[in-house]
Amino acid sequence: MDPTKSSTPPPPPVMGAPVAYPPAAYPPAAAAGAPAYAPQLYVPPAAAAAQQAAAAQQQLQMFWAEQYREIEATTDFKNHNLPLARIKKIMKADEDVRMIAAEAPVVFARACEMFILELTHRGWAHAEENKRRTLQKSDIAAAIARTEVFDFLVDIVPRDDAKDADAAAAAAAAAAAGIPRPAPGVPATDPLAYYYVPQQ
Amino acid sequence: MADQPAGAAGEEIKEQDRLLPIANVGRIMKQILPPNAKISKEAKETMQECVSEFISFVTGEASDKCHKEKRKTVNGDDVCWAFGALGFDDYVDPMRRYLHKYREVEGDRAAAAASSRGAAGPHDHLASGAGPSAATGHFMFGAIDRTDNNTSRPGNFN
Repeated sequence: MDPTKSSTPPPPPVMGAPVAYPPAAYPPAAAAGAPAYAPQLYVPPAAAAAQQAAAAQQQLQMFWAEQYREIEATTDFKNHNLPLARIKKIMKADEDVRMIAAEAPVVFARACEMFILELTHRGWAHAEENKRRTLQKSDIAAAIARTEVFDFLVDIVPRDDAKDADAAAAAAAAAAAGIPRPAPGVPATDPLAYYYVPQQ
Repeated sequence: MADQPAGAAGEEIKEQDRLLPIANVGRIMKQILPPNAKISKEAKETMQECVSEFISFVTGEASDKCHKEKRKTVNGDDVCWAFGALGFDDYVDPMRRYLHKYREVEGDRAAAAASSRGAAGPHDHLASGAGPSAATGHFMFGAIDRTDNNTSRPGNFN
């Protein structure tokens, strides 16, 4: 199966939305969306997961390329999608912070936008794996658990959420493929985790 | 000044202050999702918390650097440096670019304002892409003191 995405041009940006939706992320390619354990079309779990991981990596690279392109095209530095005053307040909550240059909250406004986009994008990959169309807290928890740079966020999402998210996925996959599940009480390990390329 | 509300109401206000508005956060999340995707309220609230933590995390690192270098003001370069120091490598180049463009635009605006007031604007050295110290010096008048109460001043942002 071909893990590479179709070459259709990006859809026109939704009105008001500065970010063009990456074409490859939706609809999911056959490899990601098709039931990998259907009897007629059996794809070994390792291969399916590896394809999914490679596709996810490619989507992320496209995401960052798109972000850079948009920043290049930015001309309006007065209007932001996040309130600068509130950002400044959050910065000042740190007692060690004394003076803040005007440009610092401006940088954060754009960086926080990128952060929200990235974390949402990664969380959505998890929702799609679980065949859901609603992004849940557990999806964000899974994205945090899978991404090393988001380790500072582990306290925000209780460990259970991330564990439950991956355990549910593991249980579903294991049941479908007949792989023995971990005994109750044993920390759940996603059997597919061994096949995943670590998300960067 | 009116008395601070006591108990839960007072904590609610502090809660809002330390989070970015859920409407803004939700709108940005929607941008990256397919048109028919939904976002649970809990997911948006979690994202609010994550963003605030992101700001605090990066600000702390940037602030530490300023302390080490005996500087009082956290500027855009410090924030960009902190992204790299904390492992947000993908953020560094785009945000440095963004900061550079912002300084160009603001430099032109400030220079225009200064020359209209009759003062000699520092237009040339800023436009030539001078080093961070020059740019920082230029924007010092826009720096926000901890004691600042958001009073409008020319050159300061609201």
